[in-house]
Formats: sequence, structure tokens, C-alpha cells
Amino acid sequence: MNKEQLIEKWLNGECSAQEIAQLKTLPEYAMYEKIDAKVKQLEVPQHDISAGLTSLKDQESFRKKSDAKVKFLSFQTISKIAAILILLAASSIFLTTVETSVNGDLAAIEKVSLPDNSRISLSENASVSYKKYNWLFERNVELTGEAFFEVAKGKTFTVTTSQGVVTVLGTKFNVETTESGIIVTCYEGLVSVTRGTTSINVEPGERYEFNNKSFTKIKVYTTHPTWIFNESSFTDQDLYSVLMELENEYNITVNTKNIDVNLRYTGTFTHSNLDDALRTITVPLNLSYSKDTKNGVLIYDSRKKE
Amino acid sequence: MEEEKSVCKEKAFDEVYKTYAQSLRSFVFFKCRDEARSFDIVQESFIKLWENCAKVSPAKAKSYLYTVANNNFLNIVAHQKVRYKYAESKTARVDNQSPEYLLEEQEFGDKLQRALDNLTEIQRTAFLMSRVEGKKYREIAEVFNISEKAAGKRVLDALENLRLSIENI
Repeated sequence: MNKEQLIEKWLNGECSAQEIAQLKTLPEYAMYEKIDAKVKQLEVPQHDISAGLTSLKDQESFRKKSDAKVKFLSFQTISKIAAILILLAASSIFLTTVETSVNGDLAAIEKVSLPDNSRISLSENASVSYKKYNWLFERNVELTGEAFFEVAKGKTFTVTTSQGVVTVLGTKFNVETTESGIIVTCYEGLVSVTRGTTSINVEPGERYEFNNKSFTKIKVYTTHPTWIFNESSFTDQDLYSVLMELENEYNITVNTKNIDVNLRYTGTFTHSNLDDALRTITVPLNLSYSKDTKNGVLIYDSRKKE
Repeated sequence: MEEEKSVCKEKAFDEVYKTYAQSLRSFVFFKCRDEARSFDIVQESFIKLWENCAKVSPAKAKSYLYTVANNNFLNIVAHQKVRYKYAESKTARVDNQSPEYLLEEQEFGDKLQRALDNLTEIQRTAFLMSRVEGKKYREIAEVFNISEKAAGKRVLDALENLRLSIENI
């Protein structure tokens, strides 16, 4: 151990008796010891702890800080913030579950604009409901009756009916629900229909009629369902169904006399004029009709005797 | 120990004050050697700690206080050209000493005072912390934010400088 190390050790009070004996042989040691002894007599002011603390607490900055701190941590402030947060959370939950419902009028087409510019045209007596504020996250419409959909691009668009679920893979399709089944017509894009466990893709220009257990596929040649233009359209349909539709459309009672209601009918009838509609149905089938004063219409075969 | 408590809590702050005020006072006094001024600097340092209590953990309070005190001292040096007012180092146990001895003691005390003046402020502070307060190199190193080895060297150099300076006066 060299001299410096030894002195350093001594200054830190770590020397053994042997090392101190070694130090004493140094010529400088006497002076070191003298300096050390003398300097230790230096008087250091005693800090008055209690007076110091008291004078500190009187300082302006000290008091201000204390007050501000208490205010910030107060229960009131915290509860106010909590209340606002709870309110925000509750209102957002409420908004996303709010349902918007639109009901189609009798004998009028109701147009519905959805938040993403998709459009629904409601046939009479149809109704749709959807969650307006949850639309961004889930495009789901509940439908009863008949409606025409023009769907904007985006997430999967789902139409839920009591008769099945229609999922959109493209655009423009018509969904009609009846008591016994569902009729889906696709005009553009691709539509998938799920009924029970079966699922079918409906391509453009195709119409699928799902009855209780079976389904039939029919070709369509229009780009829109005819009811959009206030017409009803039929392809190889039995006369009975056509006349039922006519009754619905004009709110009348149709009776038939000496005709076969299973005659097949292909064509359209307008919704704006009853006489025009009756003529377009009866003339091609060589039938006649007469109206009574109330809402009754009789359709008969004038060539046949009773 | 309530180590986890924030210094913002008045109780914790008082605890810090009671623990460090005296050693901080000595530290500042060794630097400026002015009793009144060292008191003010200590108080100012604690106010600064209180104002920044949220940012300073109790574990960091000590080094924070020393840093602030040192900065306060340096500010005074920069702005006022510190006028040192040296406290008389009292010769204790004066009883039963011969007049010659007393005179010699007095003389040596004066020499030591001047030698201390000649030291750099850093050397003097480190040396006095070691000798007067009996602080270990580890504690001195902590305050100056230097290594323990450097602290020992500083104290050693101070002693050697004092010896040379006294022998040359």
C-alpha cells in the first residue's frame, strides 16, 4: 500500500493500529494530525429544525400549494369526474341499442335512407327496423313484408326476417315474405339466403321462392322489382294468386264465377287504375269483369253459360 | 420507514426536513461560510423541494436538496461576488494551557484559516465534510455526484494542499 492510499484510508477512519504506526513514520504525518485536530474544532452553525420548519410553513408558496392540493384530491371533484364518465358510458350504450323503425304506408312506397347511403324502398305495409347508431359496426335490418334494397359497399349487410336471414354479398335485391315462405330476387351482385340449415346463393336475374320445404328458381328480366313502378308482375302464376294480390292492392273483394282459378298468368298490372288493372288481367285470358257499387268485383267467363 | 410516502404529504416532508436539514446546513456553510446565508439557502432549497414534491420521490429527495442548495450557492457567487465572512474557529479546551501554547495555537488557527481560503470551494467542502462532519467518502461522493474514489482523492488532495500552504506561510 502506497503513502496516498494509506492517508486516504486514514482520512476515512479505516486504518488499523498497525497502519497508524506505519503512518507515524511519515514526516508529514505530524502536520496532518495537527490540521485534522484543529479543523475539527471548527464550529458549524446548528440548524434550528423546529424554527426552520415553522418559518417554512409561513411561506406564501407553501400555503398555496397545500390548499391547491387538498382541492384537487377532494372527494367532490372525483365524484364529479366519475359521474360524467358514467353518463358518457351509459349514453353510448343506450344510443347503440336504440332501434329506428319505419313502417310502409298503405298504397304508398316508403323510401328509407340508411346512415351509409344504402337505400330501402318499402312496399305497402312492410316495415323495417335498424340500429342507427350502431350502423357502422353492424349492418342489420329487420324486415316484415316486402322491400327493395340498394346496398352501399361496406361490411356484410344482413336482412333478418321471421322466415330466414338474407346476407348481402353484393347489391340490389328484393325480399318478399309471405305467410308460407320467402321470395328473394337478385338484380345486381350476389345474395345469399339462409333458411333453416340450407343456404343458397342467388345470382343476378334469379328469383328463388322458398316454400315450407322446397324452393323454385325463376328467371327475371327486369332490373328492378315491378312494384317499385307501382306495378305487380307475375310469371306463370296461378290466377288465384294474381287476384289475391289485386284485392290487396286496391282493397277490394274479388269474386269469381264459372272460371278456373288455376289458369296460368304472366304479365303485370298497374296499381294506379283499377279498370286498367282489371283489363290487363282479364283480356289476355278472355274473361270479363263487372264492378258493383261497393268494393266488389266479379270476374266471369262471358262465353260460358251458368 | 415511510419510504413510499410522497414528499407532498406534509408529514413525510417534515421527516425529510428533520433528517437532512442539519447536514445540508453544514454543507452550505462549508461553501459560503456565512451563518445567516447558509440558513437562507437551506430554507430556499426545501421550498423548492416542496414546490416540486410531485416530481421528486422520497429516495431522491436528499440528492435533490444538495443539488438545489449548490445551485443556489453558485447563483449567489455569480451575482454578488460572495464576501466571505469567516467564523472564528474556536480553540476549545483553553483551560490550563500555557500562554505560549495558546499563542501558538492561535497562530496555527490563523494559518489554517488562510490555507482553507486558498482551497477551491469544492476541495474545501469535501474536506470539511470529511473532517468536521466525519462523513465517509461514500456519502461525499453521493452529494457531489462523483465516484467514491474521486471523493477520497479530493479529500486527500485538500489535506496535502493545506499542509503545503501552512508550511509556506
